[in-house]
Amino acid sequence: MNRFGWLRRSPNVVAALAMAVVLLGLGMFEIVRPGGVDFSDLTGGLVTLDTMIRIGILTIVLVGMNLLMGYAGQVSLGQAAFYGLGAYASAILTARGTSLLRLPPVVAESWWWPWMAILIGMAFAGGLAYLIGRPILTLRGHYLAMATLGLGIVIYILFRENLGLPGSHITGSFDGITAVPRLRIGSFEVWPLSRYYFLVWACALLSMVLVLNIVNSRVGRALRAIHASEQAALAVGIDIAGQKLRALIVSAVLASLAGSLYGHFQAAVSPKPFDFGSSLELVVMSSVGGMASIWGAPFGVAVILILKEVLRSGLRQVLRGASGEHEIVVYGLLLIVIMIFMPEGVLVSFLRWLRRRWPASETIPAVEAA
Amino acid sequence: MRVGADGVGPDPSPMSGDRSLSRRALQVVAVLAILALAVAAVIALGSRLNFGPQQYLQLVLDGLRGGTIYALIAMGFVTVFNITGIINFAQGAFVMLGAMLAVTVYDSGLPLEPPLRLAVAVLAGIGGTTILGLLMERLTIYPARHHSTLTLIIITVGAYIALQGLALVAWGAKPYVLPAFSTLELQDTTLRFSGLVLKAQSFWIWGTTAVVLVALAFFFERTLTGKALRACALNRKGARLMGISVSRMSMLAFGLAAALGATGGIVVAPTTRPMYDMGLVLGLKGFVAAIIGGLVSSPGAVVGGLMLGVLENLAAGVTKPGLKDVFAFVLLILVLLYRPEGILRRRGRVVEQS
Amino acid sequence: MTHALVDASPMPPLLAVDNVTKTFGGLMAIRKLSFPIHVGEVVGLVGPNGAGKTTLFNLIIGFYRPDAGEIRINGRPLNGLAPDQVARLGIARTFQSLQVFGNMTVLENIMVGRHRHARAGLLAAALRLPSVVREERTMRIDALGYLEQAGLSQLAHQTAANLSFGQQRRLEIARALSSEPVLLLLDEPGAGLTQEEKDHLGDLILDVRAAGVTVLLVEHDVDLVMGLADRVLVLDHGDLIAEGTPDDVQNHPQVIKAYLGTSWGESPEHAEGLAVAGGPR
Repeated sequence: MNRFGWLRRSPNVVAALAMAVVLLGLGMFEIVRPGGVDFSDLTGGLVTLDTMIRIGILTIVLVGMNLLMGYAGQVSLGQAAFYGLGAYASAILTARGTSLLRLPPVVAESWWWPWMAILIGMAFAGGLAYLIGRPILTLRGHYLAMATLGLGIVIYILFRENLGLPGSHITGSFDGITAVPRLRIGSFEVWPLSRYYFLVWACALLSMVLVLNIVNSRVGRALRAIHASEQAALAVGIDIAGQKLRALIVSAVLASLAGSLYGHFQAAVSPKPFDFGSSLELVVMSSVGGMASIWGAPFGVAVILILKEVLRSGLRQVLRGASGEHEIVVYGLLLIVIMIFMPEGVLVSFLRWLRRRWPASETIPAVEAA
Repeated sequence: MRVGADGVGPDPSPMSGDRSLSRRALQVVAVLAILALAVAAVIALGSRLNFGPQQYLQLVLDGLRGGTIYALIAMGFVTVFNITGIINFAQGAFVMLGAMLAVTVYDSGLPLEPPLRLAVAVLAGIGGTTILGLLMERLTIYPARHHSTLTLIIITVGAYIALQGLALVAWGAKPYVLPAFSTLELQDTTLRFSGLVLKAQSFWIWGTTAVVLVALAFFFERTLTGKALRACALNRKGARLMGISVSRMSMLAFGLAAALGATGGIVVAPTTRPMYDMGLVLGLKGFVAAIIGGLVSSPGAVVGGLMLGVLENLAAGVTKPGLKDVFAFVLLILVLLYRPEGILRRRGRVVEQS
Repeated sequence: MTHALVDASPMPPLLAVDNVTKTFGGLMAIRKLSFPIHVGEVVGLVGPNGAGKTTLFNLIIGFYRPDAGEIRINGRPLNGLAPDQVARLGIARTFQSLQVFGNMTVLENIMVGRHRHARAGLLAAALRLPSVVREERTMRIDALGYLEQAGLSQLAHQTAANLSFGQQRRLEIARALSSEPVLLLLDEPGAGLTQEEKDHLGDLILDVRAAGVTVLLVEHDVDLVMGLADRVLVLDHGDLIAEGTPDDVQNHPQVIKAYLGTSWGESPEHAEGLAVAGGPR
């Protein structure tokens, strides 16, 4: 029929390319600034480049989390801890490299060391997930939710309390660690924001593609099978414990990567963004986008982050003296409404609706495997 | 019982019945060894701080006070979980709302004598929170009752966020004060005996919990509604066949949980500074207590609460106060891994699968 | 081999249940049970409710461990293997209460069934290496073949949860077959099916047998078993009370007693099982 038939058959590829083009366009816009108009002017100041970077970073966390929760069906209420592991690993290894770890300046001041630190953080998070995953993933349902919640809180407190070491100042208590350096490639600094934006979204898109590949593979099908019926999964010979563990490790490694990117973005790390509330917020984002959906990840993050921005500025006009946190009322109510009426998430529900309207169209990503 | 049953869900730990005697003995020895080690660690760390028996006793006493509050909150969790199968994350919000409503009513300038004003405030706090609990069930859980458990849990998270947000709007981000019940002043009577210090409010906390326990037992054992609730907890389908409205019972469970949470929040209020976000930590701790107690029994919740309170206080006392929650949540994880049926229940019972 | 005339089964049995006992808290569910299943047979396992059929089933697939005795497949003891390990040895099963993967398409369900015949690991899958792409392609083609056999080709891209009850049952059987089992265990495959669907099912099982797969059929519906099985085993209270061809067993006095001895009111399936003209439910 046409030469581009494969495009119609691979809606995920089309969507990924489209997203890459749009993101590239937005980034170029910021750099070129045609007619003095910059990125945030495009959205009437609503979405700044700063927000876009935050969306990208959390997308990476959420992609891994959706693999774990939405596909494999293993609830994690402590994912922010893995996110924090990356941030603290990068911060400690770079900002405390010479003072605390006594790294030789050749290493600590080299351009490649922070990149190494990111990898070390990912390996550490993956290793931790491997160690705790075996016992914890034997739990199911509520019990798994509770255990991950506890784990998340324990790790958060360890960040806050200098890992519980007496007299230590390794994580900087409540204040955290400052002077985390910017990332460089050779002498090319991945900064200002317009450069960092490309790095973050390259990582985000890459993780989305990798996880999409996993979802639509033997491993991903095994994970979805476990979600649907552990007994039937066993009956076809799937090593349930091993597959769950893989999903947890992927989610931990991606969260750690995101955490490192966050640390270098903020140039500082403190415990607050990795507390229980943040873990819950991740679950909220995941639910809004649709847990069993990779495309739902950036969508869910964007909706929540932008909504928070809107509410914050909107409420300030309505409610005089409103502090930055009043928006959580709306945010909580919205979560309830979405969960009642669209328990599969906004994006997935929308795709389903599209498919019902135009059943023949194959360009709409298959809801089950998107 | 399970023999020949055609369910696809055989006992999740099918081998548990086969555990040989020697293995059992080994486990007991292991548990004792761990306990001995823990005691030794506490004593070793305590001796570094020159702790004597008095200091330990003080830590235990304070732990018992905190633990009693956890127990009250845990009973709320247990009630909702038993009857609806939902872990209600909004339980912490009930605790906060109870305290904040009581404070507001007490400070509202009612033309009453202070003791009477306090009584009204307490009742208003419990009543108001109960109404909110009932409303929450009707508005958020009921419309979603056919959704998955995970969805329902997320809804309760949403409810928690919304309620805390409302509290922030209503009361702002500043701490409030509820007077001690004995003195009706900020300063509570301090009882001292042989070097131990005890606030009079502690007795209010213990007394209230005892009264609540007795009242709950009476309610569940002697009243028709209580029996209907218990029937739902045992078997929802069966209860429906008996003509019990399961949806009404779900609403009641939330109301009861709200009342329990609010009671906990109000009695603890004089010992802390109640504010809009006090529910988070208290709620989570109540939750840990409920899990330690097995998540399905009220006496278990009480034991779990007291155990949690004492252990975390002892551990934090000999190390660092900031690490208190670490001990609490490590305990949670250990209990989940090694005794998911709670410390009180016999091993080998079928654990909920979802 | 030379004893072929004396011994009807010169080959070692495919599945050997050898003196197996299983108790639950003092209650004996299976008592010193022994029987072989030979390659290519369709064996029916019947018995009233509580006879121990499901327990035996769970013992074979590794959900339970026998208290005494041994179960061997091709001479290899299964004792101590987990269900997924047993499955990887080529024992496939279906479920009485359907367990299709409702969150996947029909085709994907079958591809999961082929899990043990594919290699792709996590990293290779994430990077979509050429080997993975090739493997996916062959897997897809194989899976379509199994769907064809089960008469589900038209539904390949439907979400499995949207299939009718009868279709889901076929899908489950197709999924089990797609793992190329040496032994297929069917747990009450007729339960909840209309007579027409049962007929379809019977045809499918005969096809399976023609393809050389050994089948153990656990079933309440005596008629269904009688029409399909080469050999029937009758369990009652954990004991094997009769064994033989369908005709032999049907007229066995102990079998009749066992079936009539159970309370009819308590086991509707059983009542249906005895009903000669088991019409649509």
